[in-house]
Amino acid sequence: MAKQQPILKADDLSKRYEDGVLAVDHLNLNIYPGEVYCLLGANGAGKTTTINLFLNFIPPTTGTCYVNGIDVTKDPLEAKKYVSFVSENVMLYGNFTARQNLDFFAKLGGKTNLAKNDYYQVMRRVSLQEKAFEQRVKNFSKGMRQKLGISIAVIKDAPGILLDEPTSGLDPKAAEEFLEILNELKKEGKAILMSTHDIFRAKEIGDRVGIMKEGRLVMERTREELQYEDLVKIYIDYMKSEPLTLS
Amino acid sequence: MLKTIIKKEVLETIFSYRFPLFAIICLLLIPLGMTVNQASYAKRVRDYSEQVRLADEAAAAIKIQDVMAGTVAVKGFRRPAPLSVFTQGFESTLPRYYEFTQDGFKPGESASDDESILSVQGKVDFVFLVQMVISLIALLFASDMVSGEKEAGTLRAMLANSLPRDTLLAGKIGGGYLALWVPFLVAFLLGTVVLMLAALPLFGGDATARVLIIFLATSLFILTYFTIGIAVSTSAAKARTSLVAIFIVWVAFQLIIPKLGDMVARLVYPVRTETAVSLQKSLLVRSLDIETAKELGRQFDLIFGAAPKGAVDDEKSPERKKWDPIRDDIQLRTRERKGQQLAAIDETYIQERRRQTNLAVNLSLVSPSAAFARFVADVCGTGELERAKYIEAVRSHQKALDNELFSKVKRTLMMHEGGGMSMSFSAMPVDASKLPKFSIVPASIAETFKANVRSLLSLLFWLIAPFAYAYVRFIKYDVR
Amino acid sequence: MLKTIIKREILEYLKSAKFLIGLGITLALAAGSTVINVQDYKGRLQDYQAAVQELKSDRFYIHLYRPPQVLSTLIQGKDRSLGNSITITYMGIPPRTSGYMGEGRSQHQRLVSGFAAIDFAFIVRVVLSLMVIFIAYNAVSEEKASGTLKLTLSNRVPRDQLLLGKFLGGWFVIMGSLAVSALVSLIIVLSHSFVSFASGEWTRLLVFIGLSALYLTVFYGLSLFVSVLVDRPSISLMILLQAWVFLIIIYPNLGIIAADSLYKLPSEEQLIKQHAAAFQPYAAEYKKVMEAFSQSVRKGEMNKELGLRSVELDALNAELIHQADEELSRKLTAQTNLARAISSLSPAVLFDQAAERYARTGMAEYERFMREVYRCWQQDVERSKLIYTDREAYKKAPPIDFRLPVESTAEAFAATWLQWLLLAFFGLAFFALAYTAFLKKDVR
Repeated sequence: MAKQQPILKADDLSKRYEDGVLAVDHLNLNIYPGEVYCLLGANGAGKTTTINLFLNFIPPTTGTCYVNGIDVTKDPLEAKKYVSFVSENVMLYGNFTARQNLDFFAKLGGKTNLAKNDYYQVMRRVSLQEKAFEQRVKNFSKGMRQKLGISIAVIKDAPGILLDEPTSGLDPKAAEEFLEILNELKKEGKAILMSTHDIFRAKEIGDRVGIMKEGRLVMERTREELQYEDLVKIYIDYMKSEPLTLS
Repeated sequence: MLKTIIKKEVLETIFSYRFPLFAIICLLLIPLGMTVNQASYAKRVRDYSEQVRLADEAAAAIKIQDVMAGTVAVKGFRRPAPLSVFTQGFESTLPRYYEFTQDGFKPGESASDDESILSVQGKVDFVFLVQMVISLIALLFASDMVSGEKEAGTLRAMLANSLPRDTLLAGKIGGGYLALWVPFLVAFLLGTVVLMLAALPLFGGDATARVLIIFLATSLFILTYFTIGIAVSTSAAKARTSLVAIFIVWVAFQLIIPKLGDMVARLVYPVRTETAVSLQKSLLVRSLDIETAKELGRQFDLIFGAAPKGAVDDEKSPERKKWDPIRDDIQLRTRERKGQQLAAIDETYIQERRRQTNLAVNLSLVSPSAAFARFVADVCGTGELERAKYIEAVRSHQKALDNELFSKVKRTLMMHEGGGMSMSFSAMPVDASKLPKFSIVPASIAETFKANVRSLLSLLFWLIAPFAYAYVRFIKYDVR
Repeated sequence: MLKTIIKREILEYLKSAKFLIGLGITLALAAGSTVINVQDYKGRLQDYQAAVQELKSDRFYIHLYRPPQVLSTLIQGKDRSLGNSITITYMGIPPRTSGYMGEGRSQHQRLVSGFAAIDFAFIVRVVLSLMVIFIAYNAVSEEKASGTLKLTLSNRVPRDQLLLGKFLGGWFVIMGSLAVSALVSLIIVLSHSFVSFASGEWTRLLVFIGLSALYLTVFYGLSLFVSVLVDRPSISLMILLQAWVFLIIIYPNLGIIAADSLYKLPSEEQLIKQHAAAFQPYAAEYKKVMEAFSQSVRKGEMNKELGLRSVELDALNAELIHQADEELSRKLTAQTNLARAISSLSPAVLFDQAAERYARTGMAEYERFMREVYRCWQQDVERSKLIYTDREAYKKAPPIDFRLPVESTAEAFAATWLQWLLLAFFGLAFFALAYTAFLKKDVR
């Protein structure tokens, strides 16, 4: 790959909470444009905290997060222009329709001149049913919510995309559709960081896979490397082994 | 960015349960409060006109003999305040009239006994409904708007974008309040239309300006409570905690602080009972009267003891020429002494009570609800100011009547040594049709503002401080 | 099983900050208000004693006084505002009482809801009832939201036992709070030497505490019901608070207004005209007799027949005026009763009516006093006639025998059975509704 700048970069990132828990322990990540990086780990491994650190929802104890080269703690507003976020339970306004939600978040993301058709196009692209466009989202299934969530990321058209366990709770068909969209976005050149504990999907979609355990990145493999190794076995081995440190 | 947030807040409130609920409550209660009071006001005005007419007739028929007999009581009536449709205030507590007699003035009856404008007896007026119902709704909605979004996670979703937190907060407050203010505006207009249809004098003099002031003050009041709600919920991590805190705040402001002010004032500055003071005064009067009567009797016996019969009734007799000035002098001195000493007792008592009341009022002004109620009552002419103006008018009317009517008759009571008592009269002509008419000078708008500086400051404080607090807390608010 | 649930509920409440804060505030207010009311009672008692000492009746003016009620330290009712002295002569009975020295003129209290004083009744009516709402508004909805409801019901706990356990747990906590507050107030009251409770007072006090318990149970049932019905705690709190404001503050006032407009009362002027008209047939005779009598007095004679007739006519005038006043009083009472009937849907109104009856600080006591006043007046008229018929007997006549009648506890209780019934009905109804709704509830 060309010597590009990483869109999402974590530089010796650490986070210790007030109650003493070390959630992230000297994390180093570099995610380049056009790649999908899957972050695996058990619950409490630090995946969600990492994402929260990238979004400046919490300040780091040491180290820095960079989005598109911008330090997120020093200039959060600027940094957030370059990253989209899809959370595990997509957060939407229940009393608004899909289009109204999309419209609002698009405007927040800086896209203020879009028309109704532009929204329809994006929603079609993520395979959301036509009849759902003008329906209130409080009646949406989980799959529909995820699709709307990704369409919000699509419409923002930011170079970096953060996803927090996006396929958890989705039925296989919906999960497949979702990952197809991610693939397309990757081909468009987006840098995608996806946290998950779905090993199978991670192996499918990830250009690189990392395993987090107790805040540390204990393993990182590329797709090529994983063809020769059994990711499942590696993962379970790591999960079963003695705890690295007592935090 | 701000416009987007505001628009979203407005739309979201409208689509949620909050807007229809608030709209229905406003549209029902506000015109209801005004109508109910308007009917009562109309009745009071009718009664007032009738009673003034009867009193005027009675006054025109006063004869000097009635004054001599001491049976004259002139009544001065207080005109009901038209703007009492917005808030009853003291309207039903103030005496409907005062009776003016030779011996001073006495209050006539009033409809109720409440001493506090903050009482909740017998009221369903506009201000009361705003204080009790709308304030609560504003608090709860505001809390819902912050905690609700946090719970739904959309707060996080918004902040994942390049949106400054202060813009978000301002948008929330602005948009949320706007969605609440519009139904209020409509309800208020509806209420005023109802009042106009009932021919309430809303357009005379400065009435229009006052109605506008009431509207603005209420809008400010709702904004204040809304902001307090936002401030409370930005400091609570969980929705449950914020609800509990809001509940405590509401109860404290509406019910406890006003009463607490009274209680503390009564503990800190206890006051003698009215009975004790009355007793003191009547004992004083009795002793002074007896002293005077004895003195007069002595002088009388001295002068007329050896005089020929009929000298008393002959104005030109030398004894009379001696007696009249002495008698007048003694009576004048007694009147003065009595007046002074009674006034001193009254003054002390009034000071005692004023100290207590001032403390109670100042303490109660900690609550923005109390501040609002006092201010609006004064604007409507049913508040403390009106009470003060009423008494002022009564005092000056008593003085005027004393000059024009009561002083025309002099009664002299004498106690003679040996135990006899006698009484004599002297009278000057009286023109009953020329007696002054009783009227109260209402407080001007400027006076109202001046007298309510503390209330307004309290309201402003409760608007600005929570906003500043919310601002600071929200910057650090944990949105995860 | 039931006991486990109850114990858990009680412990949860006792550990929660909201309960402790609520209880703290309640106790502080109860203590403060009782102190003030006891001081106030002391003042009124002293006034009463001073008045009885200083203003004794003479032959002509008869002063009758109503002493302050000792239970007004806890339930003020209208004791302060109804006036406590009246001066009668054979020539007239004033329609209203006044303060001991004639200051202030009391009004026939038509207002139905009690909010004026902060007394122990206020603590129960307002503060404790709010605390009940405070405690119970999320009894069920919170558990549903946190998922523990599902968890509990996945064990072999029948739904009705769960609800009963919840109900009883909270109920014990509330009764405990009521007991503690009552104790604090009682201790303060009894620690003053000038306060003495007879056995009647104790009984009535206990009945009052029972009434308070029932009152609070009504609100508790309502809160539970709403908590079952509504899933989001913030909405159930809002509903309950609005209901509280409506039931305790707004609805009673509406009752007064409705009664006011439904039941027209004569105005003051009409009343005066009525007085004059009633005496009209005798007016001419009265004038003649009075003139003749004064002439005879000036001449130095005392015409016994004329004197007697003048007393009779004066008494007749007073009687007619009194009847007109009674008529008005009856109408006022009827209007008040109408207002009360309309307001009976408000538990607070029911509570107040019964409480005042037990404390003897309501209209019933006042009316009893006025009836006794009338009886004394009749005595006085007869006695005054003796001036002209039997001078010696008049001089020897004993002073008027004023016996203030007192209502026994049994009578008071009998007079308030309807309030108890209605309150019990509301309490049971709310609990039944909560029960039914809970059985059908979707707990997912």
